[in-house]
Amino acid sequence: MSDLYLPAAFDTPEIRLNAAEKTLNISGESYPENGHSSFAPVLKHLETELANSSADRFVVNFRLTYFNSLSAKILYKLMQLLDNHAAQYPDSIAVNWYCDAEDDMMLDFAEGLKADFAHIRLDIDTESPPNSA
Amino acid sequence: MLKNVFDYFLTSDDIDRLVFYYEGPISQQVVVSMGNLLKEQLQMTDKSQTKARRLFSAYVEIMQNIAHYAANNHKGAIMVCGQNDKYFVLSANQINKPNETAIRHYLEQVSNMSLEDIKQAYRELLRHELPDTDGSKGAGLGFYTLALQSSEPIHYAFAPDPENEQQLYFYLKVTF
Repeated sequence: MSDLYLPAAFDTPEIRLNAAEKTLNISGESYPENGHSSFAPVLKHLETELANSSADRFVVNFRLTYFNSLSAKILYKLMQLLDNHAAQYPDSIAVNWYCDAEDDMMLDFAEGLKADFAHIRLDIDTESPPNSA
Repeated sequence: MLKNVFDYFLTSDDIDRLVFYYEGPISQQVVVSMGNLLKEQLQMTDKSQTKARRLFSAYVEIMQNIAHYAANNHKGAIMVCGQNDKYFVLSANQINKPNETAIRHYLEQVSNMSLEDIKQAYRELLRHELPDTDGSKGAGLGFYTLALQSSEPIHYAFAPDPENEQQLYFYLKVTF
């Protein structure tokens, strides 16, 4: 088990994986030029931690205010990883998607994830929206 | 040279304010610093969060497309301007001729689709167009993102580059 912490930059979100608590928090804005190099280590780390946590409950909190199309693909890939795990261990993954009630693109995106990844419990929370940068 | 981004789709009568104009090489550093400037400007003007969000998103997609695909050392021009309650994001850059087909394909597709169809196509691309590792970023999703956010059809044009017949000028105008 190991933690992962990447501080936010102007174009990348803060990423905090707490192995003991079994939580992953992703907050801020994401529009790097090369999503693969920015996020590949995160996906790899998450994969290892999920394998370790097996049927334990793992919670992912998204507090994103903006992401570019490249990041959208990475987020989708991350969700796919979580969904595969939840297919193997039912009810192990909970995702909380915090967003502004007026951010229709963000809401549509989250609704799309909810429809595509049926093994994950995904809650969309517009009551406590993330602060925009 | 790229300055005719101003007069390709607009005359000066069509705009009553200029938010910013940038011309030069476009790197991620430029995207970030001009982006911060744009955010500040948008916060200063009394505009809906939704419009500001859409504008910023379009700005990033256009700039990153230029950073990735533009010929001539990723040089390009971008202008954000407005009239009344409308905002426009315009860009100009040179592309290598063989890229024209792919760009035209995406833009013609989105211009013939309803908003609902664009949303569906966007989700379809998310499922199947995975991030590449070879440095190409998959422009398809970027054009769909623009189409989802633009309040009017996207305007675009290609023009010959008199100085280099292997290249074309590519102009884009997105309205909010």
